[in-house]
Amino acid sequence: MLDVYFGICTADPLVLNKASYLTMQESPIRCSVYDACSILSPALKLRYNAALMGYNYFYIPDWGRYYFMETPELQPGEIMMIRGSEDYLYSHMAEINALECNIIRQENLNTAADGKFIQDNEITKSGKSYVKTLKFTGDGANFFNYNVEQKHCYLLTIVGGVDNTSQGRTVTEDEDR
Amino acid sequence: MKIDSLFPTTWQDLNYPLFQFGATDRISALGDGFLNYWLGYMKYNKIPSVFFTSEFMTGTNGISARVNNNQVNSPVGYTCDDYGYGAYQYGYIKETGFTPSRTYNRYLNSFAVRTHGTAINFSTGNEAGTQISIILETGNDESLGTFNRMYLRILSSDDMSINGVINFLQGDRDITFTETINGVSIPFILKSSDLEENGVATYTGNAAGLFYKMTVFISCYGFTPGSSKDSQGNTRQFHILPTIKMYSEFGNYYSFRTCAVYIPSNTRVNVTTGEYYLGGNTNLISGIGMMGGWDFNFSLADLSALPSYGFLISGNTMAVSFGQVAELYRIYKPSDILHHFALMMRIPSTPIFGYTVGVYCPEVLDDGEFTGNLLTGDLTEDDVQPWQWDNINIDDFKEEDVPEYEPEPESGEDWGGDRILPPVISGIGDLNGFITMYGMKPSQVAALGNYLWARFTDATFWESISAVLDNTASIDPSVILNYVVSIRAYPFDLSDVAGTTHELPLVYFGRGLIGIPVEASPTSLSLRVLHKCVDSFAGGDLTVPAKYGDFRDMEPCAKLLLHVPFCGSCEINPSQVVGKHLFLRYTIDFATGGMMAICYTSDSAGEMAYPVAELHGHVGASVQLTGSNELDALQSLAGVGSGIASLMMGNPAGLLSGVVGAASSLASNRAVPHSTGKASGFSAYFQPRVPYIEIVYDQYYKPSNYAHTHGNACQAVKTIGSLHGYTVCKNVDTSGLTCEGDERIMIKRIMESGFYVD
Repeated sequence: MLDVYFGICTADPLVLNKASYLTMQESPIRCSVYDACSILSPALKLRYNAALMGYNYFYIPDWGRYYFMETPELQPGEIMMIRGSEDYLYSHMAEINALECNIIRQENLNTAADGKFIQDNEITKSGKSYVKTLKFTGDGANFFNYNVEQKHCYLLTIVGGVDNTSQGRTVTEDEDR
Repeated sequence: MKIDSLFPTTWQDLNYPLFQFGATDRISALGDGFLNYWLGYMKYNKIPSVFFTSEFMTGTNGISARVNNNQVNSPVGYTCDDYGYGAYQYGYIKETGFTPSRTYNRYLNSFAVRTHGTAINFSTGNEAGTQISIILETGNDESLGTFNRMYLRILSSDDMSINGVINFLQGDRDITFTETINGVSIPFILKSSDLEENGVATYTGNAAGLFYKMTVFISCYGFTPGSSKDSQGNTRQFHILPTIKMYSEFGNYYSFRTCAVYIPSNTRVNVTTGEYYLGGNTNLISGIGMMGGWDFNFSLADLSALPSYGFLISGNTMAVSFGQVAELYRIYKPSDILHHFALMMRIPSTPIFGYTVGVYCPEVLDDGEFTGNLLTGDLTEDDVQPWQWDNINIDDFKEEDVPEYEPEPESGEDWGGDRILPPVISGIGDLNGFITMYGMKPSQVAALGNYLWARFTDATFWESISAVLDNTASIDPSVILNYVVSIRAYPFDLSDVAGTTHELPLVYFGRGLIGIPVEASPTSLSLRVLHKCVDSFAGGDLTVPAKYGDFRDMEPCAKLLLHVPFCGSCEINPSQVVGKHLFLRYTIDFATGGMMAICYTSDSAGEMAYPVAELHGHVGASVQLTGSNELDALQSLAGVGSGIASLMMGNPAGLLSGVVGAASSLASNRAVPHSTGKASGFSAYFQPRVPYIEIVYDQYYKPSNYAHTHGNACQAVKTIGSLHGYTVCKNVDTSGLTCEGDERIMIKRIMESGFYVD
């Protein structure tokens, strides 16, 4: 005979830490093993108990494991049979939490050191693109964007010509052109 | 839009007037054509009687009934009171059947008193969805007649029901309605363009009981609650709408003034449950935002959007008559702030009768269907369905709208090593006395050409020189022009070229022997002479933004194109420059007109550090001087004087000859998208003159719960207990677990396929 604690689990089976999703009964129910079975997939027999219809989870402290409960089967003579499949994650939660693993996808790891710049092929690409055009600004951005009307914009190159340093006068930058 | 979808899915028996048409005063309709007053869809199990009647009906020239849009040969119609009882002998209903409508022109109800009217009795089949309509037809300029409060009454039978009623009008031409109120006739025109087939839209022109349906609705925000008191001192709640423009699908629009929004009377809110109960009648008193008659006690939450198409207009009638409430969607629970209403608006084309608008709250059934609840008669709360809230959510999956991302400073250097910067070396390009470069204005170049060609003749060189010196003899300009290397136009003021320039009054050929004036006053100092034939300039800078802040800003998900004026385009790997500054430096060789642009990116300090792109181009547009071969834009100084014979007169800026390459072969070795070749000549001057970059980002559909259902791609070594949420591991080493072999395999499998830590 086994003491079995029944309860309700609202967590997805793939959740490791189900503690906050569990509501277990305080008192166990005595069950016996129905047939030859493994501790991974137990088959329990117990007296008919209507309350079990509302449960979906159970814990067998003798085995130290938690189980997802399948739909109870009723048999003549007020016998119920409960089958379960082990919740591998929660049953070994403490040990799993201690594992150090290579993480390749994670909900909250998103820094550059974690792999923000790894190409994620699971994101669905749209057929549309976003195009951004940016102008250069600051010193020289408009160097060519110049209205040359009546400005000295033509360059006449002549062989020979003047002594550039001796004729005319030097124009400084400050002079009004 | 299907009418069926607007009707309740449960059948209703109606024993009292379903609708009213008209104001308290009389309305006469004058027009040409027909007015099809749809009643809607009916379903019968028996042959019913349908009466169309009116309180006042005089000169109703054409009233007939149609079933499924066909005139029916129906049995008797007779004059009766508004309850269908008491047939009077007045009237001309034929016993033998229904005659074409024109015959009814003669059917007058000249004894139209309040309780009398003309009734038309016709039968329908047993088909569900049978369309019943009343036709009001007129001839040219005939009066439809005067009627008021037209009722449709159906004699109820146990098995008969009507699947909702829509009263709207459909016509093929304009009809003028004249409303008489207090003895004053006020016309308004029901335009055929306002009417649609199939009962989608109607215009009922009269503030009293008719409605206008728009096909486009402008969201209306920011309701301002207010209150007032009626004549009994009861507090009325209302909300003020801002002025909005309503557009019809026909392109015309109406501007609606700010007016009050109210809830029809008899609308209650259950303060405990929050349920709204639709009311029945409105009984307005004059004025805006005022209601009379019934108490109601509720308040609207702040509205954020009103996507309703339907409108109701109520006047000072005893009952609100309206037709359909159009498409309503996305109704949220009261905890959300979106409420959906049919907005009732005043018709602006009619004078203000003191009617205001109200808000009609639709009924949402359990299955999510909407119904246009008819509010007629004195309904009580028991008659009105409570308002059901729907919890349809907007799409969870939509294209991610990612704001501009401010790049974080990264630890570690993407670019490392030595800075590679342009040289600062003096002496390069200093002019050496073999050539002189004059910076000239266009008018000065033209003046030079004019001077040379004004006295063209086939003279020797020395004769030409003499002519220039004494300004009288003829010259051969081609001789002088042999000393001209080139004339090139630049898109900037050469006065600003680095390198000291000084002014000269004349263009000197030779060693100052021949000076040709290019200004009216030869003594004016107006030419610039360059001291360097090459110089380097800044070309601006920018910061390359990141849109996503992750791999999507990098190749191959993003592409970056650099465009430099006169040099074309080239690609830069966005991975190298995202989040960094780009700097442009130009170098221009004035002797050849060629230019080079180098783009540098910044180091971690934001300083110009590393070249990422080099483009070559040609910026000096050559002006053809002679009649021989075109000048090669890349001609070196060694080619001085070859093939130069003439300088064309006129404004040299208008010349379009010459060869100016927009991109050299070096630049063309790179990818140059959006470009099919090189601009030549002055056409290159019409490229964008400001350097810019184009970044093309791929867009993605990333649902809001993506991280929770897929996880973000990463490569990290972590202890499972330090994580939260969805996790996928790779090649888990389960050493340390004290479980059975089968369990170990299952745990490893689960961890490598994806699980939630908590």
